[in-house]
Amino acid sequence: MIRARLRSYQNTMSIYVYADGRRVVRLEIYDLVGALRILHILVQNDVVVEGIEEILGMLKDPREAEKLGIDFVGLIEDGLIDTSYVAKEIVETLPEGTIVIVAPSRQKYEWLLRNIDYSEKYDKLLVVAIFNADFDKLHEIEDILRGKEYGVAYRIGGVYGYGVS
Amino acid sequence: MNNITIEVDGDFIEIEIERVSGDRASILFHISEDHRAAELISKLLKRGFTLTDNPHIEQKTRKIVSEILEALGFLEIAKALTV
Repeated sequence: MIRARLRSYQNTMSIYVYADGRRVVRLEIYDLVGALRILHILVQNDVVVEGIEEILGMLKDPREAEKLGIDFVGLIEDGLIDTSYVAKEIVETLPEGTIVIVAPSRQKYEWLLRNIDYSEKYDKLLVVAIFNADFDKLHEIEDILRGKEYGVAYRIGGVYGYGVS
Repeated sequence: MNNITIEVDGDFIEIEIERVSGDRASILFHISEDHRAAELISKLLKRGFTLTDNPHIEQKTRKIVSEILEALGFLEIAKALTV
């Protein structure tokens, strides 16, 4: 069994890959895009990823991602728009390589509000924050993603992520 | 089994070697010494060192690690792992 564990500290993401319980790689990544690239590789190879929500800790400067060609689509506030509807509409437009991160806690939601300029139009990376999301809504989104047959949706803890392959 | 662990930190890559006897050693390479790190990995693999104990996982692990290292710019090492 191959699994990976993500941990963020300040601007650094540590990625540990284990095979059969033995650590084979430790990576220290200093930029968001690098971390997302590695995450995408892991997901495409069906590696079980623990701590995917840690990657939110690196979403401090969207311009950093832009420099390397990955952008933010925007942020959706629950209560203003039905999240499952928005997820469906946006997922349909996602290009290859897109990663969706759903942050279900108020803390992460507020953090995203403070750190992401979502007034601009981006088209490569979607970050969806669900305020006080309940599991039914998360299931709805997961079902929608699976229905698109882009690949295998994965669920880690209370966070749902999805790599479009 | 004798084991190799690859550690990447910024522009540096460290190859950790652990023998079944418990002996350990590690060597640090700068990104510009990618080919030297690749040579070392290649030699170790030929001598029976693995990235994990399980031969069924070994091949897949090497593929994943290779893809990761390639994405980070360690092209020679990535190549050495898949040969």
